[in-house]
Amino acid sequence: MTSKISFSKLVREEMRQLNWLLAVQMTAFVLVLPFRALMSMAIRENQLTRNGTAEYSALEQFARHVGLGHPENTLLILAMGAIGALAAFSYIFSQVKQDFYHSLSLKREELFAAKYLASFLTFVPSYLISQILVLFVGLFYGALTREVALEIMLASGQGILFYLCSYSATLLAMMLAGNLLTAFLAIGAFVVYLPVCRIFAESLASEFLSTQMETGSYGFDNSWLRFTSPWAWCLYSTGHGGRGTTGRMATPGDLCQVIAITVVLVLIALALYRIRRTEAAGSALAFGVLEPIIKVMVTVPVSLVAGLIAFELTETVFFEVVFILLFGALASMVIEFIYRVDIRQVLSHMWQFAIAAVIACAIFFTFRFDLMGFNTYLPSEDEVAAMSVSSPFYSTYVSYDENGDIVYSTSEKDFLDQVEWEDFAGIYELAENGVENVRQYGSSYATFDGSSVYIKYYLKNGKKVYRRYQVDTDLYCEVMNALIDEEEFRNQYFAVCSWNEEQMSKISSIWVSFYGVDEIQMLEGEDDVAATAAEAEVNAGEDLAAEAEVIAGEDLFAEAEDMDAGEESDAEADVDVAAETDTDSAENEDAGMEADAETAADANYFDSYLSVESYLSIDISVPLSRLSDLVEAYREDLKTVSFEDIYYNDGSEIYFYLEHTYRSDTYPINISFTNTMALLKEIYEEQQG
Amino acid sequence: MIQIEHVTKRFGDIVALNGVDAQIGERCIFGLVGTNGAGKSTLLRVIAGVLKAEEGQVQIDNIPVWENPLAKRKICFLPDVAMFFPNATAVVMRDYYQTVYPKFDSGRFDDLLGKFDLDPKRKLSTFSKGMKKQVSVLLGICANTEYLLCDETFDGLDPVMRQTVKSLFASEILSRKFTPVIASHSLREIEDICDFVGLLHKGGILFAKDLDEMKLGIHKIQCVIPDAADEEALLQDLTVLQKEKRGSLLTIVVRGTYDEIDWKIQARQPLFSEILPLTLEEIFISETEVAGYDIKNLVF
Repeated sequence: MTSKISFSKLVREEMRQLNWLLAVQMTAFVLVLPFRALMSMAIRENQLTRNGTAEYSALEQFARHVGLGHPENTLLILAMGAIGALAAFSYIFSQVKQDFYHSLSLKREELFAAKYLASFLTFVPSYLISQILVLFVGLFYGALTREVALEIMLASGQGILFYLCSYSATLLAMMLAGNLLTAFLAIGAFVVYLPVCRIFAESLASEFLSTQMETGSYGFDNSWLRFTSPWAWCLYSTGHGGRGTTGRMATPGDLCQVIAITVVLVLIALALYRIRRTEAAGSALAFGVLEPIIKVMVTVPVSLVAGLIAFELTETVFFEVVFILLFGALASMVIEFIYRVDIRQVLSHMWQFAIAAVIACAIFFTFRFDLMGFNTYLPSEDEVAAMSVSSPFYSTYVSYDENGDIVYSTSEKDFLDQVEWEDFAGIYELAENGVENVRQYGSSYATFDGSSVYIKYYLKNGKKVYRRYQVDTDLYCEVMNALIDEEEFRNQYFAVCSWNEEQMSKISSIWVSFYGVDEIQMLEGEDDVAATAAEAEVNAGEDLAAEAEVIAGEDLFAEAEDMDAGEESDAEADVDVAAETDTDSAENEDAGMEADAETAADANYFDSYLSVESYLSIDISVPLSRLSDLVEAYREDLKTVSFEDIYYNDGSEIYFYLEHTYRSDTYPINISFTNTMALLKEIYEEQQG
Repeated sequence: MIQIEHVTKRFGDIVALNGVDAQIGERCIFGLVGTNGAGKSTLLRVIAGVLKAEEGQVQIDNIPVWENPLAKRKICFLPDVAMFFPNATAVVMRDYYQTVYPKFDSGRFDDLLGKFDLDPKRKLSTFSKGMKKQVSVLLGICANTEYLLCDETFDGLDPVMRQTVKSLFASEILSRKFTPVIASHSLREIEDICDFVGLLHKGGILFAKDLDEMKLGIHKIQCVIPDAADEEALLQDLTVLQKEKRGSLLTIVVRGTYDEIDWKIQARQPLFSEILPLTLEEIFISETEVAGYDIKNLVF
């Protein structure tokens, strides 16, 4: 009777072989976690001793490097996951080692589990000991609160999960590779391939699909990056959830997704491990069937980029084809060299290149000549159930959905989704004009001098289609003037006008910012405006800097959070003439400010550089008690103003802030809004008085 | 018993094993010879369950070996390049083998290390090629598995060590169920060790036979037959595998029993006759030539 190998003993022996990894991990984690925290606290102590004050409190200083968030810590964990997988499973790239391991009386899955567990158990103590040391550091400096301790424990659990995810993803990449070099390439490809493809696809679309509507938010949207690799997913999860004392925590949903991804990755890796041929060790890929697939997957994007470059340089089909073929062939040969490690064989399997070239040409010229008819797409009126048209006035748009829940729109797409009009003849006319312009101006369509308008088709078959058109401005104004005359349109386009009392009660503060000279003159009188303008001129540079500072900092939300809504509503109207707010600063004898004053004195220089009017502003905080008056006045004005009145004079805005949120809804205002302006002047004078 | 049933193994376009059929009995030392690239290592790796055969199967004591721990428990495979962990000593390897071969005899391993004058605490990476082979063989023997698959294990061992290892094998065979299978590219290396020999060529086994049986059935004779007609009649009468004549001295390799051959020669009244010992090489030359191959192109 023969005996069975003890799994626990095997894991222990495998761990012994990974002692070096334990040392590496321990060193790295101790340096990055407790040692860094210790140094950070020691530096703060030194500041206190020297200056009697420190930039941060002990808790703040401690929280800057430990606990939740901190992508650098997550990156280290992810790196350790990758290193752990490489260390434990690199034997699959060595025939000698495989001869040994695979001749043992173990099933492949048992060996897989033993190695996986051994490296995991090598990671856990090094990481957890470091985290425990962090707790001691916090304790020593009196910076350890119960919340922070809990967050460090949560971060530890989260870190272990990220480690497993990274480990499993690396394992999957390794299972596809036949040697260490291609394993590294596979890991790299896992990380960058999808983002790069996405960027290429977006480049093609933005170049050739001129009527395509960007579906991202108004700001830079990189949330899609998380879908590109397990590592990106983990990094995204790190800073996605609510903010704790030490940083943002991953949401339970994100963590569940990471667990699910990890499980899927492990199962795929195990399946590949089981069917992986031992003789694959040393070759480029473990599965020969992947060779042409990977070659095509790499060659096609390279060819497309080459075609795009040729288009940018020459806009000549001949050179576009030459570039696609030339760079595609080069990419194909490089990959073939990686496969064979033989320069004489780089031209083999050219049929694979031929397939890639055909695919690349097909994709490129489909975009290039819009063979799918994307830009000229125009459903017949019979197919359309409703349409919507974008507003040029909003950066955010707040409305209520059919359930009465608040809906925020942060992109044109969101806005178009919130509104729709079944009487769409005018909007359809705009779409026709846009399509006609595409046909007429072809590739120079994007530079066509017209008005940019976003349109959504609600088709009768349930499909929704979005487009961005350049339309003739006259027609645009004509159509929009007609639309704005309709009450239903106004109520959707300027949503607050249709809100009931309960909905309006959600507004926690109202702010009006006047930038236009006409509006300010109307409020203050011409003489006062001239004086204000002079002061604004002096402080213009500072305002810019101050604005930049506010924008750059991430404290906008934090400040908003700190604002007490009750106090705001009860407070006296805060009249803030931007120029005046900087008076104190101007009195400082700061060299930089003197330089600003000198600069401002040089009117010619300033006029040629920036318009003074740009910096002239008046902000009024409207008491909530005047909300209904304001909305009523605004509603009345909308009945009389034309779209052009707003379109060409939309410098000033009313902000409606909603309670418990950091969002505001913005509405355009100018001197054409006579009722509203009169009301605001009244409020302003009351507050001035 | 190891049963190799129509095993075919391909590496891409290369057919490494082409329908190999063979049986390796118990308690014998089986030599597997063949030129480089003949498929010896591949066959051993298929037997060890390292490689999966595309066709056919290998059974150890009637248990299929592929992904079957029950069968693999009976095997220890010593590849041509021994796998030692980085910076490992013989003690470290002993401990690992003890885990993965539960019947590993640590005491005996330590004892044998002493006898072979191998330092247990010296890093194996500082050992010579031969010393590494010795450690590898000792690990394999002490694993106490029923079958020990040795790939080119004797390559690098000096004659004294070879004899020592041979003695160890013999002693193991006597004391327990133990069957070493030794692959080598050199007949000379294994002829004094093996009981059975299989000749592998171009992915197929040409034959596998008991060495003693082969030796009993083939004889090399030198004789002088004074009468040319008698000589011709003798050659007709015998199953001659090889013939060489220098002057009147006739040297022939013939198939048959000693008594039968001797009786036929004596019947022709030779001036001189003598039966000479055959080397394994000569036996192989004879057998393979009969099989239609020129052995000089296959081995040596």
